[in-house]
This record gives sequence, C-alpha cells and structure tokens, in this order.
Amino acid sequence: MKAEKRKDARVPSYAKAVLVDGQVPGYIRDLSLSGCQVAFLQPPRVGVGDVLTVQVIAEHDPSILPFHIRLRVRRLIEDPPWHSVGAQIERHVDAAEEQAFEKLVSYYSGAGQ
Amino acid sequence: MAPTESLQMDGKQSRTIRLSVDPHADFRAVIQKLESIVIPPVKVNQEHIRFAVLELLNNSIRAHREKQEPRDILLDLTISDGKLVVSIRDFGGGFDTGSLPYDLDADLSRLDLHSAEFEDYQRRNGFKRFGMGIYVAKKTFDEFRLVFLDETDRPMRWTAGRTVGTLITLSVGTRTGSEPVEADGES
Repeated sequence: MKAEKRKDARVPSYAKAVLVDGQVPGYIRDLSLSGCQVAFLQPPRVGVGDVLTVQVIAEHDPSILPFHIRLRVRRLIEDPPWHSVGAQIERHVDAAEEQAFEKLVSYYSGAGQ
Repeated sequence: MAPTESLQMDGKQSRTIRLSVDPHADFRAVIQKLESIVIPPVKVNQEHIRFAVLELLNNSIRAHREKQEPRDILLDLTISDGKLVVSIRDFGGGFDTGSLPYDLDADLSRLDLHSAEFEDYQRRNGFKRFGMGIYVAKKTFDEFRLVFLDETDRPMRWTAGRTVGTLITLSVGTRTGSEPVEADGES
C-alpha cells in the first residue's frame, strides 16, 4: 500500500468539469481541499506546472451553482481511455469560488445518506 | 471460492451481487456503495470500471427522476466464465439513440470527441450532459450490449411512450496470474 503523501486525503467524487480553454469536457474523480484529479477523454493541451481553469458543474448538489477553479498541474496520467491531470488548487480568485469548492469537497466528504 | 472468481461486499464473498439503486438516493451513497465492492483483478484499471458504471447509473438516475419513475434501478455484477459481467436495468423509458451526438454503432477509434455534434450536444445541455456515458462504457469494457425493453421485459425498438426501460450489459475478462498488471491511476 502506498503511503498518502498528500496534504489532504482525497475522496472519490463525481462532478463534471469543463476545461475552459477549448471547452474540453472532463470529470473530477477525486478531490480534497488542496487538489483534485480531473479526467479527460481527449488529451488536454497542458503541461506540468501550467495553471488551468475549469468550470465545475456539480449536478448532484443543486445548491452549488457552476463555478470556476484554477488548478496547477502537478502530474499528467495517461491511462487509456483517460488522460488525467493531478492538480493542486491555485489560489481562488474570489470568496464565492472558494466557498463553492469547499462546499463541493464537503459534499463528497460527507457520509452520504 | 478463489478470489479471482468472486466479488466481495460487506465481508461476504459471492459470484453475484445485486444493488437496487433508489433513483432519489443521495449520489454519494451510490459512489460509496460501488467503492465498497471488491472486484477481482480484471484486464483494465478497476477505477475505470467503477467510473464507467457510475456514469451509466447517473444517466439512469436522471432518466428516472425526469420521468418520476419510482422503481429502483437494478445493478448486477457477476463473475462468470472468466469475465466480470455488469448489467444495469432501468425503467427510465429508454431514449432516442438518434439524439446522441454520435452513431452508437460507430467505430469509436474514428470518433471525434471535439466534433460539432458533440459540442452542440454539450452546449445545448448546459454541459450537464456530455453524451459520453455509453462511449466511456464501450471504451472500458470488452463487450457492450444495449436493449430497450417493453412492459413485459421483451426487447423492442425504442418508441417514445412505449419503451419502459433500458438494459445495458457489459463484460470484461478477469485477469489471470500470467497477465501483466496495469498500474492503477493516481493523481
């Protein structure tokens, strides 16, 4: 078993995420307050160290309206059919986006029903 | 039962597991239930298997909610003849395959996910639907079969108002000891 090296443990999630540059659809498959993994079916044109912006659509918690987050790419993972990006949260642009992301993390960290 | 021939949930081993998914269930509970099932090694990354199933369940849940259909969605997982077989049976009324942004029988290797059809579909649905659930399932599993069912569970061509639901069956080979192990993805 690999030791968890991340600052915060990730939890499984299911939220749609659209890479703003190019409107590339993807999915946030795990997340924590400090980062997330976004999986795309098309290779995103990004490299390690780049900052990308994604629009997050959290369809399972209607109280979370679509919002943007900025992510710094830490890892690119090629695992067909997926092209995934392991990323850290770059600073939030405003408090509303920060709150929306925290709410999303809180939603998926919850015990469920 | 050898670990390669069984599934495991709640500490119990079995060749078959059935989950009844309430269409109004909290989706987190669905994710957690799927995560709790121990699947024997298969030819592809197990995280991708779970995600493909989740994506199809999400489509079924949405269809049930839109149709106000209270019946549960049935998810069956079976280990049989060296395969993991997954079936998802819903009562969501089926759908017009012509409304998808691609032909279901198309050669997936030639499919352009950036085509105008995909982009139009996604924009039209406010990016709440990507039109990729079946595509993901077909890319993940070795075999894929979709049939629409009438009220007596007989296969039928999709007909608005008459089709009761959809049965999707997927399978992928389990992995024997001699086959290479794929690394599980990690971000």
